[in-house]
Amino acid sequence: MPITSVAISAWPFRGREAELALIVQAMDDPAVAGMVVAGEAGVGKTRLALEALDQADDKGYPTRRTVATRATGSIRLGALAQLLPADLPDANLLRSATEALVAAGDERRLVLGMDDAHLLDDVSAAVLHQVVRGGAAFVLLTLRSGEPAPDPITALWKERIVERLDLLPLSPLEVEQVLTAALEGQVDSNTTARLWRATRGNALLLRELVAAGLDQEALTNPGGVWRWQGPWIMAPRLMELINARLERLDEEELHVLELLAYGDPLGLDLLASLAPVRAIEALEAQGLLEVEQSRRRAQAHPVHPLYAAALRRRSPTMRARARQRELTEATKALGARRRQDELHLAIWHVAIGGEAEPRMLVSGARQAWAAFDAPLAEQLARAALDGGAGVAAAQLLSDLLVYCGRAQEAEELLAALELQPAGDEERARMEMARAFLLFWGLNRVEEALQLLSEAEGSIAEPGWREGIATMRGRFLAHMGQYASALKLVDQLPDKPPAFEPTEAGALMVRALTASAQGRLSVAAADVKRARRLVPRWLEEVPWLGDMVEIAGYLSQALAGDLAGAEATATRLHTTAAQHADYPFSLVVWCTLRGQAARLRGRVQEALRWLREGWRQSGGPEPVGLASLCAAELAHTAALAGEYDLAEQALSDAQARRLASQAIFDPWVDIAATWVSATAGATSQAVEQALACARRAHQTGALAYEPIALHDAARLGAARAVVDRLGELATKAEGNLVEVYAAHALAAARQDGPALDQVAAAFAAANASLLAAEAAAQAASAHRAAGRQASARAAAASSARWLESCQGARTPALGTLEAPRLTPRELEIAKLAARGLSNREIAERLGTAVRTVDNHLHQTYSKLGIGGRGDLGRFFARDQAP
Amino acid sequence: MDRADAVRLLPEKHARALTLHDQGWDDTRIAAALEMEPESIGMLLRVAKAKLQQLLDNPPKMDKRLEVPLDPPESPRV
Repeated sequence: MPITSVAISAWPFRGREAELALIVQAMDDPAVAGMVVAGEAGVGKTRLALEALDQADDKGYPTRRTVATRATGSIRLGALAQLLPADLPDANLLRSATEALVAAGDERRLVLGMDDAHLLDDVSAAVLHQVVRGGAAFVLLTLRSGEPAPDPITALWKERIVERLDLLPLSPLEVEQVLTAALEGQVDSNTTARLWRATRGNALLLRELVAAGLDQEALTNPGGVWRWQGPWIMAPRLMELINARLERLDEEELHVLELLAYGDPLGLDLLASLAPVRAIEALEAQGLLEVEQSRRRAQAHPVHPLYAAALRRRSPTMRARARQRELTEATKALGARRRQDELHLAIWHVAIGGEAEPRMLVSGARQAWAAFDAPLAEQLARAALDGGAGVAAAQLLSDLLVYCGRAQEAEELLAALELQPAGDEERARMEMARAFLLFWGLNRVEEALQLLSEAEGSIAEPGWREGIATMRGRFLAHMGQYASALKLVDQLPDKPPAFEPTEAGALMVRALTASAQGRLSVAAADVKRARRLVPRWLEEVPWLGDMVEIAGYLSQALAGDLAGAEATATRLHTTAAQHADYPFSLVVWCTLRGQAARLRGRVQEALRWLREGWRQSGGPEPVGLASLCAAELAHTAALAGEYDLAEQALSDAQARRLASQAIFDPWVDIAATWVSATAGATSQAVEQALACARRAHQTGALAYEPIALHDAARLGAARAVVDRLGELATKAEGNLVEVYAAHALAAARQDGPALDQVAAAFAAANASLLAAEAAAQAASAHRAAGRQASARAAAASSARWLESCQGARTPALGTLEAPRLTPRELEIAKLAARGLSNREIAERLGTAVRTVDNHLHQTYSKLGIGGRGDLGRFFARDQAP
Repeated sequence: MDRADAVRLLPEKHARALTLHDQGWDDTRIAAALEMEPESIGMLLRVAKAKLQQLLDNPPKMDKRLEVPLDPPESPRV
């Protein structure tokens, strides 16, 4: 059944388990008289209190609940009226009401819920205070933080008669958990990050936004991963919630928020020139505005982006224009000296019209793209082009469209332009834009190379000629023509180029080729140098950062620095997830994060990222690593036993192979090997692995040759590859090549002790699946040699490493006869490994010391170890990061 | 997942409260740093510790229900 806003009326209770457990624990403790749950509107106080009352019901406590409102607040005992007899005497009212409430417990401890206790009338507040003091009931109050509450209520926590629990907004992780449960499926990381940022973890806003997104089909899951596309849907219910909050602001405060709705962030000096400081301070105190100190400048932001969206939505056109005109004039009056001012002025100009310098619009567009706000960058670039910015705007817009997977539009744009480039710079820029489109957008790689060659011949200015040569070098590197690429950039003069991003581009070519060729230390050094140049050229070439980091990631992954590669991919993916509507980065870093997790053996985690990347790479073709993403998904799905998905994704990877992405082809070949292997076609898989190694050797992608040869060894063809791997081990760089060679040799000789060492080396390199495979082979070798204890120990090690591989299966693991510890044995063994004595373990688990003894003996026997000391070492091996 | 990683996944105020508490700050100083009532810091820390323990005991991982079969993306255009 499709999920609709109706279906999500049962919004899941997630992210508040700890708070609920503490309330229930307090409820069961006769010494605790109650709990106050305080928090902002919509944070989830009422839901938490209701869940707690439900649990109280389940435990057999008598429960009562009531809600205070502004209406009941003006009536004596208004909120408690429904819980009290109608004929309470006026004399001793306080005492009578208190006794009547406590009597509702029928001599058991009453659990009394009171929502919005800050709205209680004074008498109800005094009655509640008395009930709490009497200790015959457990009172659970909710109140809105920042609102004044009646003194008897405040006194409850001030005098520490009850506990006060401040309920905080949901964290990003908790928002992800809520969304996953509510939508019954995976939510892509960009959507989760955007929803968290928009709602700041406010449960009510999150729920209403999701409901609106579902209703208006902005939030969809056509392929199984939920994704929000486009701007926020400000549905009536959401507007009501926000308007209710905004109604409490005075005119001046509202004015400040409206200004921020059209310019986020605004310099505090600019804001203060347009509004009274008192209003700014009041908003800050109410948690609606925050000030960030950045370098020497203080900038104001709206805390809730949704409030800004609501204000824009409800502002009539003339009012919106008036605010933007105010901001424009004030910015100019202050000198418009900052880079960010150009972006703001460009945005306001597009909104209200009037004269604008084309240069300012181009600058705004570049800044927007540098911040990965592709829709805004496109809007400003189009305005710049319309405003006569010429070639600079055309190049920017065309490149942007290509990066957003809209190459067809870019082609139409460039074809329709009637620009007459003036001078070498403009001619170079136009040719570069055309070549960029041909190569990345249309996969017409030979035409792109031809166009650049001709341009090099026709442009006289050396700086621009070098820029074009560097672009040709990048294209050749991506086509896997490493020697040609390197030759081209090595011919560049060793002096600062005229078109300065050329320097970073040349370093990138060197790093990419060095990675593929297995010259990994050179690659790492070039990446380091290129990385320093990225911030300088972020606006001129916004994609430079991603490209440099891809080269950096590859140099780490191919060098066997798996933890470092994963850290790089995770960091970049986290950043990419913050960018709205810019799929390029997200696909790239989902793919590489997934690959890094797969290389470390964590196949389910890898699948999560790869599914997301694959989904994002669908539809219009982005310049993401679509083929690589599909190949990695196929490889990982094969290891996870999802054979249908593996074959489907492999077929997609092969269909999406592009000449412009040939640099990643070895990964596609490797994936094909593993799809065959896990489908049972081992001989075919070995042939594929050997063919992949040959291709890598022939094309100069030497970093991949040992990986492919080692794959053949893992599939049982160790004898066929042992000599070549041994040879490579003496000259190839990287942490793992020597281990690959040792593995092949040990496997070929069925050398159990050597395989044990190989397994330990893989584990030390964070390659858990490879460690598990080698240990499984070691177990088999030991068994064949009659060393049963060693066989058991190796099998146990294999099983333990395999635990972190999230269900991965490979042919090499087929021989594994792992001794499985029962959950109780495992629990006791871990406690013993942490140094607890048998008596301490028995006390902790509520069992007899003799039982602990028996479990430990059984464990030692299963694991083939001598005793407690070995147990410590055994578990310590699994703690590798 | 190590403790530092788990702390980073907590709501910001919980993470800050725990960090300050680990540094030996008392409730009053923590309350001032977080702009909260001093009386609520005890419970704030208890919640933070409980959430932290949950993360350490059950690090976030794939929910089995997430493993939905995927349709392939649209065919490549190029």
